[in-house]
Amino acid sequence: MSAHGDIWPPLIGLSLGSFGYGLLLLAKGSMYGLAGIFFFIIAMGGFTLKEIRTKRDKDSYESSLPIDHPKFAMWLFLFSEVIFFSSLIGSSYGIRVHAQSWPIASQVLNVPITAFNTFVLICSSLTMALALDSVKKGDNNGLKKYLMLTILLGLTFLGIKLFEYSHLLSEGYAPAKSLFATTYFVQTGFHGLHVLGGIIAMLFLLGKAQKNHFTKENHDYVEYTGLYWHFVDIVWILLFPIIYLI
Amino acid sequence: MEHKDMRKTYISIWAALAAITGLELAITYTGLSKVLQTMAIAGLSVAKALMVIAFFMHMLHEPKQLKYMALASLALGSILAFFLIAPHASL
Repeated sequence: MSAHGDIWPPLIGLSLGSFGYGLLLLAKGSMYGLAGIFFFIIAMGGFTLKEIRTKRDKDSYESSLPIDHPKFAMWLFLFSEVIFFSSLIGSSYGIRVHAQSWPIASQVLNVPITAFNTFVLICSSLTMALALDSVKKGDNNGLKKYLMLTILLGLTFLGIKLFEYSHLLSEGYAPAKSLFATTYFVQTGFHGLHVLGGIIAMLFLLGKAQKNHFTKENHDYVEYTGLYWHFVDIVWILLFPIIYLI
Repeated sequence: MEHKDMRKTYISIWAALAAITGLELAITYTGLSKVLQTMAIAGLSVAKALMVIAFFMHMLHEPKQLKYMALASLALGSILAFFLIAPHASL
């Protein structure tokens, strides 16, 4: 059975757009936004019911993609995250360029500690890559060790970030008080939430690794989580110089 | 197919990333003009990002269709960021 000519992909795409636009209308006080959200619920619900009812073989879909679907799905998600962070960082930088005054980062923020924090995240990317390398060699102990190290490094990053936040808040740099503080907390806050999400995913992986779930032949979810974690590292690699150095 | 041991590659990339981060920090302490500092740091950041994508995310070994999609998303993201910044930028 071929997936070509199916109405559901464009319908779901439209419903997602209507959901977003519906939220926007609701935020502006227009109840017409409910129609967009209603359409989204109907479309997603209908697709879910159809999928549950359809019996199919594992190999019934033809695909011209040369990579497996879950990996492609992760990459598509990361591409959407590129757009998300581009809009976040772009609008924050646009606000900065337009602002009448902007504090010098090194006078407000702790650049050396954050440079160290950047190094911590780079180390976590290494340990994540080594975790995948270990499981590909059939080394489950190596996988567990490097996953634990990655989680520890991720938590260290978040800990240092929270320390920085508490220091900034005590100095009066709260989100509502200035454009600088708002853009700083929004950008780093969203990034921090992504780091937290990655840590939660890795905790699940570690739980499975403890039960020797992953093998040389079966370790795809380690790779997919690794892709997400490296992306989170890339975002910080770009965010750190934009906020702290330039 | 036996998996090729990538440890040395990963450690080399990690060392390069750490060194470039140090270099970015050092550039801010030089007497270079703000424009030159910005260009140098931006270029180094992009290089770091590309290294992570190519080696840690294995994009080098992925099919070309995926590479084109990645390029497209980066291009779209850059265009979006440009239009968010450009109306307010001044030379």
